[in-house]
Amino acid sequence: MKPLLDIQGVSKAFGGLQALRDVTFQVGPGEIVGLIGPNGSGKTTLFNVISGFLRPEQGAIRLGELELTRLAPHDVARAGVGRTFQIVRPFQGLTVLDNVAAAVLFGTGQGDVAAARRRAEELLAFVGLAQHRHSPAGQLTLSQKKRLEVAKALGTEPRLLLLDEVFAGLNPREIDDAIALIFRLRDELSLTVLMVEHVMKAVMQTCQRIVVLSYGQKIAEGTPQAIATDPQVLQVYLGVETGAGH
Amino acid sequence: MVNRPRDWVYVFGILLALGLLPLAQPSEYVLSFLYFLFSYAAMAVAWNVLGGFGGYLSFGHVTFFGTGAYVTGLMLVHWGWSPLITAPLGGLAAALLALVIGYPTLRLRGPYFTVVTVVTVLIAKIVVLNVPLTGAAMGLWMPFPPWDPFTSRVIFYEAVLVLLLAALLMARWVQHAKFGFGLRVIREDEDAAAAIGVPAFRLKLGALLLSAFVCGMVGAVHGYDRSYLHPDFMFDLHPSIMMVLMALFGGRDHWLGPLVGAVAVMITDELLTVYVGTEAARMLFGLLLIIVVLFLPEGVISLRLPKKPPRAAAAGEGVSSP
Repeated sequence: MKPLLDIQGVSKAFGGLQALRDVTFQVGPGEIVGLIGPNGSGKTTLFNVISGFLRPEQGAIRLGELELTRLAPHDVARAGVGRTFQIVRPFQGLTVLDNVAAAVLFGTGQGDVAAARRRAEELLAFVGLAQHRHSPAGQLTLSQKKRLEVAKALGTEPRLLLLDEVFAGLNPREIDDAIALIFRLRDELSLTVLMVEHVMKAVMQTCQRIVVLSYGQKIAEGTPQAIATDPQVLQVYLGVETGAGH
Repeated sequence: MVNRPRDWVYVFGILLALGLLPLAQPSEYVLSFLYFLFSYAAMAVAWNVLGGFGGYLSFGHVTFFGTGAYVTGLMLVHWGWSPLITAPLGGLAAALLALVIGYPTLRLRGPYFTVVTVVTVLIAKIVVLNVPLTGAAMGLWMPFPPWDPFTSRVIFYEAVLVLLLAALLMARWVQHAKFGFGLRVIREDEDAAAAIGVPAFRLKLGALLLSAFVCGMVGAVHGYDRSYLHPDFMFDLHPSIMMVLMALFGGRDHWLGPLVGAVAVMITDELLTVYVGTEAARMLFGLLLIIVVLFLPEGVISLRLPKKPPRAAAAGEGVSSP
């Protein structure tokens, strides 16, 4: 099957720090792929490169047939890549509804504010925030703000959803709810998901495939079971000496 | 706001009634006071589209005012065209300058943009002071308007009233349109706005051009009224600061805010000047502004408009952000 997201040889440096080094992997349509790695391994940098906030020095990123590599962030969003931010960034002064309506208006080229609000109502119902739609976004709890982030990303009618640590800071029950939501994104909306995550339970349960970054390089890629027993991954995460592969 | 579609009926009704005021033969003092009020209000309302909705504070809008005045003034001096007719050309010239200024500066964010807008005023003043065409430091003398003093006051009064009406209609449209949504989310968080597809630079530039256009037209009318232009007062930071204060004082999140602010500021300023004296008035006025900014960050208008729409009414259309 042709990949939906194709990342080829992407490198990005900040001064002397090589944040990403020749990263290559693909995400197929309908897949849920996890991107893991220790702090500073380049996960969020890669998200920023995909979504156009950073320009890679080398490499190419394609969404289907479309080259994303040189597009501005707003053009990447309109091309079908929705993203959430690690630190939630709702538009505090707007209502929950208008947060999503703004995404519908600008992400899809919809020009009619009333129609955008109707679409936003549906999306808020989908993520379970319908009853909060008239609250200022700043008043939501963290878990609700994360759902709002997802609804905003959905508002742009993405084909690919980049989720940056949507599980961080949630309690176990909220994590279960969020896992259920991610499956619904794939099953009901036919979305493809690439997620950066530290909460291993969530990664293991939701992802079909996992890509592991360490110091900006891809060190492993495979099913959750394979990754959980990969010696190099264990070494990076736990410092376990395996004696292999060096 | 919710279920408040009639606000604009009152506002435009009052403005239309004010248009008939000259029939009642008011004193020139009243006409002159309202003339200044409408001029400032029109500029503050237009300024607010970028500064209030978009959150890009510009202290440079007097540059557009001055540009409109000089361009139409020169057309009067050289070709005999009345600035009351060429005001839109003055607005266009201002918008063109806004394009030149905005193209590089709107890539800057927050305080950096604000600082550069102040500098544009200083540069504009130096340029005009040194270009012989504009009369340089001698100033530009224009033919006087051909009417008796009272008729003249009425005509200029009506002219700025029309501009205020146009500015209000423009701001009201922006607030409820997709454009306004984009500007507000840019103000809230420009990166998050880009992530949902908002072309921030284009929207900011559009807002700057619209507001510059209105300021340029006000400048055209005002320059003709004075019949003498000098860089020292056509490119003075004071009117720029007044626009910002009026908008913030009244409330930057609503198209009406700057008008409310202009009324409050002008009346307070006038009363203080008349009864306490100019110097003390400035000080008291400053104090009042500090109080408003500290205790009513959303402006005086937030006293009238509830922050959160009531649950029952919220189902209605036209839910603007609070």
